[in-house]
Amino acid sequence: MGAEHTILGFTEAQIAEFGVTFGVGAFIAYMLFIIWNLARQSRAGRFGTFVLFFVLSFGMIGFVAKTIIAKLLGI
Amino acid sequence: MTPDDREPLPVRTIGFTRPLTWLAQGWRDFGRAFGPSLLHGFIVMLGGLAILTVALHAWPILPGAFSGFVLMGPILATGLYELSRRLALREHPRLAHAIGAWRRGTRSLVWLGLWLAIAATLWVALSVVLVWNFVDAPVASLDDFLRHFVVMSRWWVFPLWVLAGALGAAVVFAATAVSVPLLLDRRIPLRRAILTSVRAVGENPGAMALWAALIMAAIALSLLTMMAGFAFAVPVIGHATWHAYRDLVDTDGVPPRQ
Repeated sequence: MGAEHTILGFTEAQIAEFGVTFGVGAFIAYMLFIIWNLARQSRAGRFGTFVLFFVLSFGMIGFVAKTIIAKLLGI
Repeated sequence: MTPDDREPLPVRTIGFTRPLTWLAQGWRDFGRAFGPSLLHGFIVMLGGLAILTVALHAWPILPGAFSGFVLMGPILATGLYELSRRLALREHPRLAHAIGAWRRGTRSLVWLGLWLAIAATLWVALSVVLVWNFVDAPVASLDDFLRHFVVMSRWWVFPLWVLAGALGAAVVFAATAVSVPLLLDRRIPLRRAILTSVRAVGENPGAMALWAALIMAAIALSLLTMMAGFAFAVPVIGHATWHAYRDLVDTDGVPPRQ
């Protein structure tokens, strides 16, 4: 492991991980901006409430799916 | 473009359980336009099977490919909206009507389709990068994929993917909930149709969240039945979307397309 190349003290894997995390983070931030902008332009009073409902139920389905898959695979 | 063209159309408030009525109406239209409707379902089912076949050979595209495929749904259902429109006019719906709606394909519909295709492609790319970077184990089957991406990867990878997907899906759902049937039915600019759709969702957050959940459940069941469910889910939801549009949007004062 001693011969592993580093850039500014970080390994390539660490930089890739940071890049992807940052990319997904930027994507999420951009989506939030679009949501805010759409709500403003459409004069839809409770669009934020809808997004909240939607994301929560989506997350719940994801969590349940993950639990079921883990059980089925016997993990 | 007049200032009016940038304003969303007026929308109506509906009861929380109204989406269940849309499903019943969608089911009724499916029965009345059975042949051409079922054909739409079969085409989507075959598309899903084709994606599954490709994705199993290039597993990092699997999560993105499926969710991206779903994004195209509102456009794929264009023919179904037209069949429901003809039924509402007391005409006998025929396959030629559905094909006609595609051929008429106004510029707005083409733009919206392009926009959705770009969103779907970006989403596939983002998912591939995520899977590529964070799944170290060899993946040779669907079982391996579920084991390593969904369950065993670092704890935050799957939730982060779900959160990003949920936000993107919420935007696409709101923008297309009623905009495609509206574009097909009335002479209206794309931007105004999308803002109207978002407004309809924002004025009815509970009912539209229920509608989104029903659609998600139908998609999940279709995936669990190895795409067979799409043959029925696509026609029913497509026709139901037409009724959602009629219930939610007040189109008085906007000229019809024909």
